[in-house]
Amino acid sequence: MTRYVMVADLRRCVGCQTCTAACRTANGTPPGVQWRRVLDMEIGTYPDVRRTFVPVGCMHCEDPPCMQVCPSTATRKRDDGIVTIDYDLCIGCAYCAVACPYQARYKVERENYAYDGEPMASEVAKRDPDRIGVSTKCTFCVDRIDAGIDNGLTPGEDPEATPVCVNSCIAGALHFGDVEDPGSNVSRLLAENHFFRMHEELGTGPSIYYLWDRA
Amino acid sequence: MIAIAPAVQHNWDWRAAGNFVCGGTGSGLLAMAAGAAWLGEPLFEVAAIAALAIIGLGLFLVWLEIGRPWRFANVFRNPATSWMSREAWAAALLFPVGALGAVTGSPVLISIAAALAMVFLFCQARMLHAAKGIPAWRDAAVVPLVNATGLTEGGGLLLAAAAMTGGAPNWLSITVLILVIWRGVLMLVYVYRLRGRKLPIAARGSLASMALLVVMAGSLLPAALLITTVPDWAQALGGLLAAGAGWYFKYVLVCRLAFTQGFAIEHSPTRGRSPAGPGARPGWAR
Repeated sequence: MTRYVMVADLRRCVGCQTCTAACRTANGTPPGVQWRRVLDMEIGTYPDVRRTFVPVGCMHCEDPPCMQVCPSTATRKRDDGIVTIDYDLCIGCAYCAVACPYQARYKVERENYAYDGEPMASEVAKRDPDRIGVSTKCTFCVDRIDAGIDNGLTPGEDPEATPVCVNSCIAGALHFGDVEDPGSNVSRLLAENHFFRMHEELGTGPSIYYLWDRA
Repeated sequence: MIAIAPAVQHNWDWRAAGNFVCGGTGSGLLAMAAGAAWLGEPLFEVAAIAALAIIGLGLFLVWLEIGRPWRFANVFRNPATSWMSREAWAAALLFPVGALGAVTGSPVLISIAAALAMVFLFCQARMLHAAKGIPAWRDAAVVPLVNATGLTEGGGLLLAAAAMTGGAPNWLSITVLILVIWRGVLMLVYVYRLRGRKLPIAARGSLASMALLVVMAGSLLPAALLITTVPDWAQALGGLLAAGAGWYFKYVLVCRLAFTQGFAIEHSPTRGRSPAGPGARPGWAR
């Protein structure tokens, strides 16, 4: 059985937001919508202050609360763990958005552009009316994964089959792969390092693992 | 700049609150109409029709909020796990049965409709409980509180209407008296359960002021008005206070108390020679 997860090495992330920009470019998300975000957290008080950059987005949970509450069955989980939204079924009730503890879902009511008025050429090229009035979120670049697998590639190892945020990371902080495969890059990283998952206490089983120290 | 600490959600606004207000009031009113039907009270059919209209208004409000309103029929697709789907199915059964009961004046049909209204109300309460992203909603105490509030709203509204149009029956005054006290107790339980680390710091002020107002103006004052033999105007005021406090509670619950979970890390990472440090949960008490 395959289960795709992301590993974010907090020791390496420098908060450059390249992953955010890459995601927005690849997926054509409108202003204000960031499927991949990097939080800038300040911890402590002067003089003992730390700064930590934390990539977040849809956690593709093992038990996704968004899927349980979705009245239209638009939100589903594939056998490989990726949580998807069928834009043709979604009614835009945003119940999933309030059910998600990771604030990963967005609903855009009308088309808007980076600059008031006319869209840029890139916005025209990426225009998708199906995404208006419905919930959207990170897909783990599922189209790239599926196309890559069809071409005999391995997600997480071959860039063509790997989410663009992972490919774009300048610090090697983001990793992607099959956690059920003991030989995968993500399994190795999780075996060699201490990690946590966000809001573990809520029982959602998020699929983004954060590395914070060597084991 | 991305908000890291919990912030009030903006996905559901006053229209969603309106659905909870109208759903609770209409369901409670239908339950009272069923009681009135069995006791041979006049005009129970009117109360049943009014209840259906109020529930319908709430559903219309939420229809205005959804992003793809002409796909509304898809709401029925997931009764297996979604309380919103179950709410829709309950409503779909409730309207024809309730309308038939009101037209024929059958206490049996009105009672079946009232039972469906209780299912509808329960679904609304469970909808909030299932929203894991909102700490003020996901606590289990919200379920009995929303159910009790719905019954209190409906009872209070019928009491006010009856008192203003010729006198409220004793059984209704006593029922509303019991409901306002029950709702007050459940509100205190809800506040007690959300103390400490179960609610973001920023939400505490809204919770305290809302709970104080609901308990004082929505439970103690109506109870004081209803516990003694009082004139019709006082009965009507008691009923309106009982209902109004419930409406205020639902509005605050959806629009002001609905802070998101925010973000947290369990550990800050090692950096060069700097060892790993403590985590952070901005916006929450340590």
